[in-house]
Amino acid sequence: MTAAFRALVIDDDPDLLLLVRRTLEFTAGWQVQTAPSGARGLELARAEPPDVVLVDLMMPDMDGYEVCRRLKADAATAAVPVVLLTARREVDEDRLAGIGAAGFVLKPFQPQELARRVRELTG
Amino acid sequence: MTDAPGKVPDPLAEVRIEFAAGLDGRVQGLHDALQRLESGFGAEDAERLHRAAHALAGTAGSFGATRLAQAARELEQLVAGWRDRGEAPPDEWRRATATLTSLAAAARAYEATAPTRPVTSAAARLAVAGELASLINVTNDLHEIFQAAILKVRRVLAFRRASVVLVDDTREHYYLHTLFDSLQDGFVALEQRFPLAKGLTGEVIRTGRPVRENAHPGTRGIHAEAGRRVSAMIVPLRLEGQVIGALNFGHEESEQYTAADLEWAAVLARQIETSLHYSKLLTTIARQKNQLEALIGASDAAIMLVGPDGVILYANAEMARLIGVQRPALRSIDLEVVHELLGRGLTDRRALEAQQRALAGHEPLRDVVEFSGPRRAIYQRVVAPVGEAGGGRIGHIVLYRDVTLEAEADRLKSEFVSVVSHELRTPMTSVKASLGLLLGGAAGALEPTARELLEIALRNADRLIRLVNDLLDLSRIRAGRLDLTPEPVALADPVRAALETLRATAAEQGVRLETTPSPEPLDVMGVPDRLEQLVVNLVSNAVKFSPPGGAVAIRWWRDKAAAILEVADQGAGIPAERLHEIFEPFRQLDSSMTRQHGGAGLGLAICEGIVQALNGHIWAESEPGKGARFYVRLPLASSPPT
Repeated sequence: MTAAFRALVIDDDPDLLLLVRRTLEFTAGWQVQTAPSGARGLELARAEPPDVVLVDLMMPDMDGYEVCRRLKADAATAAVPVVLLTARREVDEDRLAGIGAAGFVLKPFQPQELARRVRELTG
Repeated sequence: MTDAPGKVPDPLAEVRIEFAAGLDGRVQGLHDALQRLESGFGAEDAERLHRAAHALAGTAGSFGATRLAQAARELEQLVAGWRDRGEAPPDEWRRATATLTSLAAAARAYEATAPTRPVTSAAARLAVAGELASLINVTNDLHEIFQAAILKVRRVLAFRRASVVLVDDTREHYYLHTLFDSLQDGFVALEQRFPLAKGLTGEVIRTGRPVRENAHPGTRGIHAEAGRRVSAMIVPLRLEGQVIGALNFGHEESEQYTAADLEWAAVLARQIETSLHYSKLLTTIARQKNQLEALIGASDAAIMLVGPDGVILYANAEMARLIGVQRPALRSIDLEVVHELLGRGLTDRRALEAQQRALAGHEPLRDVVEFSGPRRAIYQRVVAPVGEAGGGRIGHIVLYRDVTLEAEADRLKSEFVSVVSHELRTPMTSVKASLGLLLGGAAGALEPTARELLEIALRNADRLIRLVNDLLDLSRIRAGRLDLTPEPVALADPVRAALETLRATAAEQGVRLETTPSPEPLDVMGVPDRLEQLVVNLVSNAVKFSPPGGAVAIRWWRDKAAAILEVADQGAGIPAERLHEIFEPFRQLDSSMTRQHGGAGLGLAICEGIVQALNGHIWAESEPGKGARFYVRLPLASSPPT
């Protein structure tokens, strides 16, 4: 059987979290899990590694870089591609590559484009 | 009484002879100091002249040189007056010159009666050392001091060469600062550096130990001849614990210097060290003063220092230009005249009253004033009391800095923000209205998912409108155009209205709002909408930073002719070093908090603007871990009955 493509979205803004989820469900038919913080996101990813993780770059306590670093450091989740979401125009791409991120998506994004762009980045 | 030394055997004969021999130098010293005072009054010169005259009067009196003592006393009294008044009026200066002429005549008469045979007794040498001490009082010039010292020493010690050598900045060489050569009967300039690593002098400087050699091979300076032996005596000179040179005596013959000679040379070295110390001190002070004056002079701000009695102690060129007078004239102008001249340029002359009040008190003044002439300009003004390190009062510093360009740039920026914000509000209103209509069922019933998405859109449209409104308020505040017309408002009303607005948000976050109203109704001078905005901002800020289950306490009470409102939370608190900047816009402590707690960090800046426009005061207190407390003090509408 072919299971649905599974994405985990991590963002501290509840409205945005819901919108990303609806976008991916509606435009790509993905199965989407959400987490309001980096810590919760890591828990969910470890329990059941998804096919891709989308994580907001600027979050309190644990930011997107740190979430990505920890996912890559854990054997259970190291293979999961990580895409960062950011509203900032200046992105340190070297740093992203250094922690093994697949790439980033700038906010705001076109709903119809998001899933396609994530697929491009994750191959 | 007679001015001549006594003819009967006198135990102090040799000291008297020394005194007589040193008189020329002392008279010359007095003369030089007096000359310096003619070209310009200097407190240090007056003080030094006074000390020298006082010392001469005392010594001359004790040696029975009555005429001399009298003249010295007259001079001393004149100079004491100058020193106390800070000036040497021309007529008094002429009297002092005449007194010095008769003093010189009395000195010559005394010298003529005193024998001038060379003396080497301990008493005579002691007198020479004492004279060196008074020499330091008269001049700071090192060449002058060293030359006078060597000439005096020459009367009581035989030498071919005497010198003061100093180590240079590299500390690898020394040079002859002052050199006397008996064969040439005078001082010799020798532009040569000698390595510290070599020679007897180098050894003394390196080791810091004095040396007395009575059979030393001749040097280039003294009899470099095979088989010839000479005498040398070298004493190190120290400054702040470091050897910085040496006092050096050389004789053409061997076996010239005794242990007693060396001891005495060490005493001389101490006197020279003292003069070096003072010279360095004075040079440092003079350099610092020059540096400071250069710094203030180069400043583009107009700066003056006003003494407690209203005397202008200092003013830079820019201040003279602002007032419109020549700089030298400023020192003699009355403060009232300065204010009169400044007032002519001010757009609103009342701005002067604040300055006069600040100059009379201890509270600093910091504001912005506008000049309409000679050219239109905006100045930032600071009047602040200045104290000495010990707590004494120096006076007030008055500073005007031209901020016309900054003010213009700030105005343009505010105008830009204002225009953009207004332009943003129009489309945002349409977005909000359309979303509201859709959610209200204007286009038919909504599917749950559609409703959910529309609610997100409406919530974020509201967020955007709040941000635009905040930016607008802030630009008005920055431009000083909040234009509030305060009226009596019952403080409890806007507080209740604000809490009503916030109750739902607080409940969502599990934060309790606890109010403690004032026992008596309080009417403050305010504007209802702005007071509500103030309380909403303060309380929503407190809620944002509260932990779930925490409480925000809102209290208000009367304090004399004012009301105080307190909003206290149980959050993480604010570090002391950040307390001063929390009212600046965009200053949430951590950029991530902007996201965590919402808002762009404008709320407190707006609060401060509102409170200031209402003539109130806002401040915060906090200890990290114990939450933060915000206070607002607003004037009451009417003074309470007494």
